Amino acid sequence: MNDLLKDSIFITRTNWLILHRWITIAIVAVTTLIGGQVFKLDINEFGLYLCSLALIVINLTSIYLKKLIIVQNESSVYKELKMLLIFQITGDLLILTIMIHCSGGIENPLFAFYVFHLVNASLFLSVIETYLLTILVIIFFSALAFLEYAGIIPHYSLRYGNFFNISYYSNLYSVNLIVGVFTLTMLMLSYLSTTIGKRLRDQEKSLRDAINKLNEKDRIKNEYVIEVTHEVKGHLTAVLSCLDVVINTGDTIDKTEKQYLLSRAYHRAKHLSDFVKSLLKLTRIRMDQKLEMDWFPIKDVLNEIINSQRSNAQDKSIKLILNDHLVLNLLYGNKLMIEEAINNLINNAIKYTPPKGEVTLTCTTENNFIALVIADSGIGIPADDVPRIFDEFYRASNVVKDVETGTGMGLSIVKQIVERHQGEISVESKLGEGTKFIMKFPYKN
Amino acid sequence: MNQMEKKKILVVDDDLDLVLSLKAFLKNQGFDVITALNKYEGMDQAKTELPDLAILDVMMTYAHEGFDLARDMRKDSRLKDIYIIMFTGIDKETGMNFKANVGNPEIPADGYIEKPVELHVLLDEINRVLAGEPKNE
Repeated sequence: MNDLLKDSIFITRTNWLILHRWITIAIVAVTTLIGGQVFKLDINEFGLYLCSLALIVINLTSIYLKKLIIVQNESSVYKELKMLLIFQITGDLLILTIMIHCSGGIENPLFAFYVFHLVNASLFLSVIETYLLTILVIIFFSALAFLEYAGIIPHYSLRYGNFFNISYYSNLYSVNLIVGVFTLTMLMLSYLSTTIGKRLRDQEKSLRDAINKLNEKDRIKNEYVIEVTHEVKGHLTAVLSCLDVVINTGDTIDKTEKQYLLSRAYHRAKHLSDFVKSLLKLTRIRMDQKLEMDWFPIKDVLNEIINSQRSNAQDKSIKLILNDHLVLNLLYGNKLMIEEAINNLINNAIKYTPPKGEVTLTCTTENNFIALVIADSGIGIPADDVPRIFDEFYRASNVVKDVETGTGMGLSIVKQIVERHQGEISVESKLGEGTKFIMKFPYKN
Repeated sequence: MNQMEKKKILVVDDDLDLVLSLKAFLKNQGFDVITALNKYEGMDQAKTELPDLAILDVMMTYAHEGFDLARDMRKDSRLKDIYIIMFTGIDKETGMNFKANVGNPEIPADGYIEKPVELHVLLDEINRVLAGEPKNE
């Protein structure tokens, strides 16, 4: 439970207690008046009025302290609020005991009211604190019963003519019986209310966790939308700006400059289109409930990829090597997607490797999976960027900004593909020396 | 342009295409144009060229780079009178409502333009700021 939540729970409980105490004060005053003046009971009226007064003092003190605590306005005040609640409840219990004493002692069934206090306390106190409070209740009540029995404090009777004419308080057997049953009842009550209270709190916590998780997902989604918008808007702004100049300057602008601006507009529009395509692809991979999976010949796929990438590598005089150590030719998965992942990584490797470098695709069979390693002798990834390279839209800081072909989505797509196959992907890189991507696909999920 | 001398405008944005297209447009409109791709280049250009007006992108290498550049320029006694127009993407990106911030000493700017912008709107804003007219909301 977070601190602010505790604050609000404790404020609610404090307000609840204060409100009900006002009601109690009114009821005690009226019943005392009726009991004493109308029914002429032998109760201690003065004591009962004093109890009402004490309750008023507790209420006013609580209101004052509550204001003082809340105005503090520090990060969290739940500890102070809790102290205030414990103060109130202890005071209430003491006054209830005195009220019982003033109106018949153990002969007055009013002692059932201890139940309210304990149930209320178990709503916000810990299990141990609730039991400690229960013991306090038992001590108060037993002390009252035995002190009256021993004659150390006076006994006020609830006797009313011949209708109610008993005196349990002076009979050791009945005192023991009532105190014993009372003790058991209070202990059982604490046990029940703390158990139920705990269950409620656990449920509340799990609901709250679920809400927090949903809110967090919502926040991430909103940020995602903002990032996508930013990316799209950047390209659109450039396209519009370039075209605006061409359209609105007429013949007053140099022809080569015009041509240049048009070609830039085209490039940026093309880039935007690539970006949108990648975004759709990534979203589709993510949303597909079930991938179409089958056994396919992985060795053949690797050879095809290497052959198709060969000219791409030769353009930059990069050596493209396949080290095939696979035992089996079969892999279970979505062939097109796995092809796409490997192609993406090889494209990246070639793009970020200077001419005359080397790109190697190594495949090995391990216990339960196939490992595909794409290593290059390229520019490497700065250590600070490594943890974020699989994030959407993220591009390492050492990537030249005007390399036109990157959408910042390639590695996110690769990661999604690997994860949809219950595989793993990792990266090792040294700045200026090269990068190694390791994909592991399980044989069969 | 009815001014006797050509006004000089500094354009700072990390998008090279945008910078080049703005440069072509503003030159065509009779301004002298100098450009920069980040706040360091922008500061250097401002110091050596002493432009009349600077158009600064807000989000460059990091979220508030343009604001920082604007503040740095205001702190420099030789650059503090250069008019500044903030050029920005969406408000949400920086979490600020720009229009409400004209005249805010925290973010010194004489005008704000939201991307993408039609160039004649930008031109109107440039002429307004250069003429020292207040913004009519």
